[in-house]
Amino acid sequence: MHEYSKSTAFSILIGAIIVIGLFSMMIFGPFILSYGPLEIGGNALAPPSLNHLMGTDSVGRDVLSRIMWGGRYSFLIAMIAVGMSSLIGTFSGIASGYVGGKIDRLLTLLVDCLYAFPIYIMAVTVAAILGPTVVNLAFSVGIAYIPRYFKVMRSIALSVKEKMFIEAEKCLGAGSFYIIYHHILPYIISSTIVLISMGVAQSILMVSGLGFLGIGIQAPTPEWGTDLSSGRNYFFNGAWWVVFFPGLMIFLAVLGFNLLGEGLNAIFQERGVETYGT
Amino acid sequence: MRVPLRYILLRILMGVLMLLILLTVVFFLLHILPGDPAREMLGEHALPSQVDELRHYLGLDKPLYVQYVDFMTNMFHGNLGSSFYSGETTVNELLYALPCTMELSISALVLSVIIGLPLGMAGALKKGKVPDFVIRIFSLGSFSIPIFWLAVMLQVYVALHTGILPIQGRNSFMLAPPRITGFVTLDSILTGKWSSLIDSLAHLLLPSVAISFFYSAIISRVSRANMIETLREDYILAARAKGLTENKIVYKHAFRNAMLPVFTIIGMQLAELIGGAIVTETVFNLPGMGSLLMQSIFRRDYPVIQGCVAAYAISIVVVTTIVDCIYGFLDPRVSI
Repeated sequence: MHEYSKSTAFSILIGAIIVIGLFSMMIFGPFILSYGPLEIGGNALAPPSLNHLMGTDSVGRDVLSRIMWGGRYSFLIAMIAVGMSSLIGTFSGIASGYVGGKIDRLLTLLVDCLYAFPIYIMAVTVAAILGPTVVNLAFSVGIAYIPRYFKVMRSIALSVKEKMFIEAEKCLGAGSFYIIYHHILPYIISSTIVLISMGVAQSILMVSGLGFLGIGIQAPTPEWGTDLSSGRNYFFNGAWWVVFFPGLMIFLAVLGFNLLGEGLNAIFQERGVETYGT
Repeated sequence: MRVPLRYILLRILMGVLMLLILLTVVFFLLHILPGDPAREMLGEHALPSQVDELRHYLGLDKPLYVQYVDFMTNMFHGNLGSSFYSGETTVNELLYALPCTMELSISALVLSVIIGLPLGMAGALKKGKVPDFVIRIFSLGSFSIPIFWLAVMLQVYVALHTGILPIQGRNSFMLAPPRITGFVTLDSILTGKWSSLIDSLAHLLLPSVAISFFYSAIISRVSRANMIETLREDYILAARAKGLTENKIVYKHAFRNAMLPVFTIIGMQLAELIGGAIVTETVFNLPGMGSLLMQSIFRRDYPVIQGCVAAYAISIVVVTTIVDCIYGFLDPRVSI
């Protein structure tokens, strides 16, 4: 059994606890709550009490319920975005690295252009243009992360391609797909897991950021960033719970996935599995 | 060590290519937007004939590819059109907003480096021990905090409740310096208005702090990693064998070499910051490019949206090219 350093164990443990906690909250929460996210169940802007553990918002909706429901959208969009960008980035990266030549150079050039552009501006512009549906938001958040996957997967493909035993296999008549499947894929798994974890964290940040700016999920649908934005004015006048709790949830979610990703990265490194460029 | 001219030209070429691709994409995306800018401008009660007249005036009734070609040729002549909303030329709108964003980005970056670099160094030197652990936790936490949450909390708890720092804007009423460069700090210095300078800096502080948590975490982690790598190098071992004091080894030898890649990262962060300040500008009501972009999006002000994207792309290319050149200058090993 491998001995992991204390900080690695800490990261993984806390990260896993947070992530599992969040997932349970999202899945089981709505069943144990007394209020729906759109239901006006109390006085407007009531501070946290036994009835409403996180208080109520400006219309009288329970903040806790909205947070639990809102998490679903953030995660959903983050999952779709990460899934999309990892698939596109991975396939194109491996293909580009393996095939090489002019296609590789062209793709790398395009990806570099994409990579250099600030994520936020791109996401904001695309989201604003396409409109605030779940798929569009996932697309605009995801498109910014494709270059990262592309670069990492490409460098993996390149380095594996050079190894001697690949030449030997080719001489024996192994086809490209066989080589990719049996030799490149194992290396990918460790990098992909880490990238996905960090990617989810950043996607959640971006989705809530877009919601805050008003071009993400629209009110009255619950979403952490959107709720935070609507609560701002009331925050000025003393209702701290409308802003504090949504922000806290975003923080915890992002922290959880970041810790998980960091911990996994450390585990892979300590085991000697190479994770490229993370 | 001079960086060869062709390297610089290649970077600029890539930048121009990126600009073209981005503008094309944004142009076509904008034009599939539902909603008619002419109707938006005239309001709901406008007659269809009036709307048509405005569309014709704005050139919106031409075929799409004609509009595209017009747009691109105009771009090359430096003509980005006029704002549908204000009538002001797009270039003027951008020039008005850009200094604000640059000022915020630079001050946020300076703060991030001041906080992040020492923390990263300290973490590397005390690797594996408690201080390192604490610093890394703090970094990860800072990296995970949503900037808009932090900005709003700072705004209310520090500015509103205590009144020490201003709540929003670039300057207090009557304390704005006359506009020379557009950078309120510079303008205050240039005109010798010291009260304006203090006022401008006070207004810059909270927004910069809000942004710097996130970016100092990145800088801290990168400098820590690089310092650890550098300390493992053979020449450090040789220096120790020679009998140099630990201080000298760290500050004179290790630090300089570790800093080179960090410098590139810092440059990249500046480019990212220019784009990433949108949220902070919104919270603190700063009239920069982020605010301009958001407003023009809500108003369907096509020329300004395209202009903002172009301006961002150009600033990033300029910043990364300058950083690369300086890097080539600093590192004698680089000769492309």
